[in-house]
Order: sequence, then structure tokens, then C-alpha cells
Amino acid sequence: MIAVPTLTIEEFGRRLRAREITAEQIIEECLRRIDVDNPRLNAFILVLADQARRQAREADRELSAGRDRGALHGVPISIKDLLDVRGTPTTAASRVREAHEAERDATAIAHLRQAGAIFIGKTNLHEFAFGTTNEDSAFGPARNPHDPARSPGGSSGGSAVSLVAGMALATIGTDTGGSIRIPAAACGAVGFKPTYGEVSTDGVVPLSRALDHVGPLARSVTDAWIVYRALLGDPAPPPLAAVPLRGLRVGVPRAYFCEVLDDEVRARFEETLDALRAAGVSVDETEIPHAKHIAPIYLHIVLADAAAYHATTLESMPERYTAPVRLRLEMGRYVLAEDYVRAQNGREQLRREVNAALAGHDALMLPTLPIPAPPLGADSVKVGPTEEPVRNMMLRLTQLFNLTGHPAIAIPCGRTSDGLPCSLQLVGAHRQTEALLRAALACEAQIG
Amino acid sequence: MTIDPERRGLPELKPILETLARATRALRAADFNDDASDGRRSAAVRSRS
Repeated sequence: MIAVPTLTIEEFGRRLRAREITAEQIIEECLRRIDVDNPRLNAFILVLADQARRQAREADRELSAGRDRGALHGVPISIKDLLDVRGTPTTAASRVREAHEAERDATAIAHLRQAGAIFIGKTNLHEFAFGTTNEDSAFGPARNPHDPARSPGGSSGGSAVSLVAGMALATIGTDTGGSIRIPAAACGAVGFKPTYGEVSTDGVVPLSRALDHVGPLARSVTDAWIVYRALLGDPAPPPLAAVPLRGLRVGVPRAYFCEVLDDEVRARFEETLDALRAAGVSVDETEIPHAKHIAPIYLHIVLADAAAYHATTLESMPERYTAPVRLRLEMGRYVLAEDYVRAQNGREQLRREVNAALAGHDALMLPTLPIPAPPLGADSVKVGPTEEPVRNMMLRLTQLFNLTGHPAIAIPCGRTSDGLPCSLQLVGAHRQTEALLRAALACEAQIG
Repeated sequence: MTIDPERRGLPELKPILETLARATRALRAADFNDDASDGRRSAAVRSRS
């Protein structure tokens, strides 16, 4: 029996090259887990069983013949059904895309294919990535493996479920307001959004081209590094080296970001900071002066961008959208151009403020989600005296870094008394993505 | 803004547009916006130049 839910890419690669395991065996185990658990968790929209088996046999043949494609050789990876994989439909979890079939791979997918990854299937998501719970999908909601009555987060919810339930060794998501980091946090995985523009979004159905990012969800920071480098076209990256924790300088933006937190999320976050301080990390407070404007700025940009992309189909086939997503897209048609410009000015302001907060720090540190995974069907959530729509609460701590384009990573940091995962978010400087991952690797070792 | 959803047969859009209207009011109240009355430029533009 292969312990897929805990097997990292790093460990699989070592065992593969030691001839202790084959690509065919790992694929069969992932497919077995899909057979057993997908009916109740609904992680996949399409399982590519035959294709994956063929790819696995080829990967084993290549390795036997001395051809090693790199760290992802023979690794089963699931793909959010928002990215084109040639010969398969890209549904975006919507009936609007019923007739679609991708003629070629998205650039990021082509890089993974070249690196030897095996595509085990296309995963469920919030329709057109326009939501944080994965509830509004033409294929029904994906469910959280820790408690199937709860949301796995979104929009890359099916991706996170497929990883945590052992149906793949890594998964590819997209992140426009937190859609990689939020499900990673809700399901207890590592979720990584690179710097804006680093990983190609060619062949990816857009939500907002100004805010969209492609990145991995994985079981460890090292695995996230391996997949991130492959997405860039580097199949054999050097090992990621942790920075020394002693002397690492971290800024915590407490105002706004730590004001509305579930009690147990707050407790895990503070315990994590204590553990890092004890290991020699310098933790001090920093601020984002215009933080209270993040949500209005984000809303005006994402709504208008999404409404522009969907304008034709909103007129020609409105009944094919799920009702909540259709309404949200319709909302975008009421954003005035002058407010869109104001939001762009605000975005520039926030970018400068995050840069200023990072000055003198190696990373910013804050929780990823202010709440544990919410129950499916909940419209709002109450945290202390604050009651907000679930969507607003889930985006609260992540959307800033889509507006500013800074790289950000979510790593697990303990659980609530109900066993639900909590998550720590680290944010790095623009184009200093490797430095952020080296810091995250060091933190993961300390708090893991 | 709230009359249009009725005309378009989308009355369920009305409460959502009220949410957007609140967000727009907050956005317009921000101090990084331009103000033509005294020739000031937005804080965002000022700190760029």
C-alpha cells in the first residue's frame, strides 16, 4: 500500500529512482482513491484514467531507458478545470462551456507535460473561478475532506480536495483573490501564488487578467518549489535551501488583518509567531495604511473585468450560469469607468504600501483565512461582533496581494479543536519569489 | 441603478447592487482620489512623481 495522502513529490522521486515504486503503481493508487472518495468529495470533473495509465507506462519505459525528465517525472498532478489540457474540455465548471474542447495545452500545462508530469484529471471549481466556496459549480459542490459538510474553499476547491485526499501528488490552481491560498488553508495544504506575471496565464480562462495568477497546491514548500519551477519551464530545479531562522525579519500587519479573526485561528497564529520568535525570528509590527479600502478597490476591478469577459454570454445564454455567479457578473455591468480608474489608483497606492511594509523585512506574516472552513450553504459568518458574507470574510486576507502582485504562500499552522486546518500566510517582495519560498521552508520546518 | 434590474426582469439583482453602491461610496471617499477643485493630484499620483 502506498501512503499517497502523505507522500511528497520529493519522496516519490527518490523511491522512483531507487526502483522501489513505479509511475504505474502511483497512478493506480491515485485512481483507486478517486474511485473510493470522489463520489462523496466531488473533487474531479473529469478523470483521465486511460490517458494517465498510458502516460505512466511511458514514464516508466523512459526511466528504464535512461531518460529522466526531472523532478516531475511520473508524478500524478490534477489540473483545475480552468486551464486548457489538449484534447479535453475546459468547462470552468459552467454549462456555458459545454461545447468546448482545448486544441492545445495552456503554456503552463505544456511546461508540466514536458517535465514528465502525468495529468490524472480536471478538478472542480467555483464556476468561472468567481467565488470562494466551490458551491456554485455546474457539477455540484466539492466537499472538504476534513468534514464533507464544509466547503473546501475556492475557487480551486476540487484541486485542494484531490491533493489532501491522496488523489494526486500536487495540483494546479489559479488565484485571482486568493483562490489557491484559500482552499489550501481550508484543506490543510501548501498553496503558492507566485509574483504576478511569472507563470503564464495563456490558455487559462480569465476572471480578471490584471489579477489572475497560476500556481501550485502541494504537500510541502519543497514540492511547491518543484512544481512552480516546472510551471516556468525548469524541470530540474536546484534543491530549495531554507534560510536561517535566526535573523529572519518578519513584519506583521496587525491593524485590519488581525482585527477580525476566529478565536482559534488567532490562537494558532499567535502560537506560530511565538514558536518562530523562540527560534530567533525577529517579529515586529507593520501597517498598510489604506487597508480598509482593499475590498472596494478589489471589487471594482474584478467585477468590471469579469463582466467585460462575460458580456456576450450574459446576453446570449444567461440561463447557463449558476444563479449566484450570473448575478455577480451582472453586478459588474454597473461599475462606472470613473470608479474603475479610482480603483486602479487605489491599487497603485496599495502596491506602494506593501512595498513600504516589506522594507526592512524579509516577509510579511498574517493568517491566510480569518475563519476555519465554513459550512456549505452558509451565507454569512459571525466573528466576534462582526457578521459578514462568507465570500467577503474568505477574501479578506488574501485579495490584497492579487491587487499588488506580491508573491504569497499559505502553509498549515495547526488545527482548531474540531480538527479543521489553520494557515499562515507569508508574503515576499516582487520578483523575490525564491527568497520567499526559502523563508517559508524554514518556517515550515519550525512549525510543522 | 436600482430601477434598471426591475426593467430587465432581474429584481434579485437589487440587493446586490446596494452592496456595490456601498463599496463605491467607500472607494470615492478614499483620500487617494483626485480632487479637481484645488488642483491637487491623487496621493497615488503625487507619490509617483
